[in-house]
Amino acid sequence: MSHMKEISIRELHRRTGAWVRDARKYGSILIRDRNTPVAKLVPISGEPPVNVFKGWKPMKKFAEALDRPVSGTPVEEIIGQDRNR
Amino acid sequence: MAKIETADAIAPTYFDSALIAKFYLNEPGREAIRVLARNAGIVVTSGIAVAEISAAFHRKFREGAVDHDVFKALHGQFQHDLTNGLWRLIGPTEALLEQVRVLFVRLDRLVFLRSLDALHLVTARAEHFDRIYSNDRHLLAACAALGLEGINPIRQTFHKIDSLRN
Repeated sequence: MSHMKEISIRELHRRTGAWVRDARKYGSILIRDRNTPVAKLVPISGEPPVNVFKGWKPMKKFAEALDRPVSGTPVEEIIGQDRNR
Repeated sequence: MAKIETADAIAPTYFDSALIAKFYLNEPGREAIRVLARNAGIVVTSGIAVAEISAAFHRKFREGAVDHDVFKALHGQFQHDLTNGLWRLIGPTEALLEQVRVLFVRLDRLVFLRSLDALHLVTARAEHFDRIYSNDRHLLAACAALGLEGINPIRQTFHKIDSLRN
């Protein structure tokens, strides 16, 4: 059984952007002022978003190479140093 | 954040470039990034990530940390994934660059902020994210200046593993 996602006004205020994006995920979100329902956040209808990472695997011809452990400077340090220049 | 209630729930998430590079490189933390991306369903980043990641792969190759086969594999897979829209790239547009300029005009003189960190932060904010995932300490430290929450998913994972061990 599914039921509508419910959040408080305070929670909506705290993370407005995230809840607006999540409206499509939940179908709609009910906003409560204390315990009283006061509003509903409803997404504009359209194609539901697809999880592009579900079932992602490296391509067969690259899988073995990408599985080898990589040594050297960690990539976050490389990019950090690049930004420091 | 509220627990996701359906198996196919999507929670678009903003990644800094280093996390996307780590998604491909078999370094500590890769699995945590892949799990986070799978849970998010959609990962958004600045288009500048393509340049940063390509440069990072080349530095790994230049330093001999990866051989030619791995270097080719990294680029082959990355190109394939870009073509197929695995990573949702935003800009950089003229409007975003103008926002970066304005950000630096108004930025407190005590905040250390690098140009590409600023571009990522401005892009995330323009896309209405209220948090950004990164494992770069400078970018994470600068998040608050833009009212964003910075989260290091790799440190969180290791912290969780340590807690379970103790």
